[in-house]
Amino acid sequence: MRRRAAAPESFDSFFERMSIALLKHGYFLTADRSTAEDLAQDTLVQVWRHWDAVSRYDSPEAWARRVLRNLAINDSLRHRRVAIGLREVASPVTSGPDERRVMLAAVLRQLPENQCHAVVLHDGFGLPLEEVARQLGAPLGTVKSWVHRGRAAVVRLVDGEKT
Amino acid sequence: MTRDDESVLRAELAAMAAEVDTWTNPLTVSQVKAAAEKSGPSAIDPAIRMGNRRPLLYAAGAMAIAAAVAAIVLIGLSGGTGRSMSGKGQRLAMNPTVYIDSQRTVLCGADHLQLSEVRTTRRGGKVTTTVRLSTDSSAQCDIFDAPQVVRLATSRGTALPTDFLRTPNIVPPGSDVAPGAQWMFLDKKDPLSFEVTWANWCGKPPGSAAIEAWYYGNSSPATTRLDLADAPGGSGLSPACTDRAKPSTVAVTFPVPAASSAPAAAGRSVRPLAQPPCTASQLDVTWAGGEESLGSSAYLHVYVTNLSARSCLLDAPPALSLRSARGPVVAHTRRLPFQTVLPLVLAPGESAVTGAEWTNYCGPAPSRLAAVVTIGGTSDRSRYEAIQEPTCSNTRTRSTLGIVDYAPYVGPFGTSAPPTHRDGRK
Repeated sequence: MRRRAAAPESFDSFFERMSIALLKHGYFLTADRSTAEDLAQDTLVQVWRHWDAVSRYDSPEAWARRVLRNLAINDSLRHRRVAIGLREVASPVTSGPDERRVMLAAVLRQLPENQCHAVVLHDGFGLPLEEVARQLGAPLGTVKSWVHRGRAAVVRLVDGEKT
Repeated sequence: MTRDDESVLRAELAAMAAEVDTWTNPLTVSQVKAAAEKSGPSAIDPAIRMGNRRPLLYAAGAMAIAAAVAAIVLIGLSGGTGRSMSGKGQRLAMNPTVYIDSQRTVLCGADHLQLSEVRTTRRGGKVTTTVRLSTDSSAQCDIFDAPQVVRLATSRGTALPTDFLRTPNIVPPGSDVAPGAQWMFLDKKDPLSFEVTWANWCGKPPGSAAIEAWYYGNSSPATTRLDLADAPGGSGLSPACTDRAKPSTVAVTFPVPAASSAPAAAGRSVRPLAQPPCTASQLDVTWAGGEESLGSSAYLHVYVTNLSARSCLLDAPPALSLRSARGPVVAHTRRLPFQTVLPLVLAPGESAVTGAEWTNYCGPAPSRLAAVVTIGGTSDRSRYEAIQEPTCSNTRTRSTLGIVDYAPYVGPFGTSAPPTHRDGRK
């Protein structure tokens, strides 16, 4: 990750700018409010602890997104949301998060990192492809490919989860 | 992906984002800083860490891969043939037990991993075995990615001289998770399956063999016997000898849930050997093309629907081309590295979908195009549709059609909506 020459922003400013975005990102990847809140907080804790270095990165938010995704995957492993949660949610006697959202979150977590971020930023946050490319530090054509492949994989994986 | 799929995905994510906007932000700067102070310092960058014990896992993984590679090289050198894994009873030194998170979920050990042969077929000169991977352990355990090393051994336990082609999805030593790599959860009720493909065998057919697969973190392989008999009195199944100067190879696919490769819930089943291959005359080819043209690439989605009264088998990657009224438009095709679900049985009325990414088109703008699918030597085409071709990015390189393998089509997000653009010619 390249470092930038400009003066780094303060953590408080980063927090103001990113806390809701991280909440949303966490929600996309878990479909569970309390888990999303935990993930956003844990991510921000990590950002703060590494702020001296992270604040000098070209894109501290990219680093934060990566941490959040890692935490989300780790969390899903711990709680077995993919394997067990779907069954629990599918159970008629269990009330829980929307089944389709749980499934969507599970397959988003399974996507390769770049595709996951590209789909979330473009389709979730509604950012134009050019802005996604800027945020991910990748050429526009590459990001287009990530978005396309990510979407295709989501549909395929959702189909797979259904079975 | 169709417009429907895309809009459903976007709508769902937008609804989730809107929901978050209604929440009161539970986070505060002081809370975050206090939590950081409480949890103490960390020397490990969490952006390259995935769990409390993941660094240990990476270290073990790096050691395991290094050991495997070293073993392959040493065995190959000692054999003097340039081929690897020719020794008998070789053990790859790997860490026996690795925990992957604070709740001490354990990697599946070889003692509890069970391989079983589902079927073995010979296609295109290669012998492909579908292997079922399950566990007999009452505890849940995890595996990571494809097997790290797979080899074939004779019934006497002697390794056949084959080179193992590493699956691209495995984790590079010392790095973060590779694209496509993932943990998979294994328990008694959720078996997985993968395919082992053996190619270029110039020796005597072994008659029978065993597949030995080393999984991440295991010091010994899981094994299954392999029946290579073809017919009574025959010499047995073995791959065609395509090049004596090159080693025989063994490759594996990324494991998928056994249920998804045999999606019974969707009314499909994995290949029964007696299933006849699909023919173009049985299939209706339809497409949604050019709707997602993103400048340098146009994305096309082609559906094949079994309009006949009997089930048939799609057992080869799609042979897809484009043509205008004047003739073929794209000469160069390549297979995109998506996870394959072949072979795929299409029951009457069922559809499969394949996707294509068309790039760099510098020819005259075709007003209307048709997708042509070739199966078993005969072709069927869709209706001609007006699609937006990709932009010309380099006049000196070929226009390319990257094609993904067939997947079952069950509609956007599992709904049973049929593909659009049916031409109804059959």
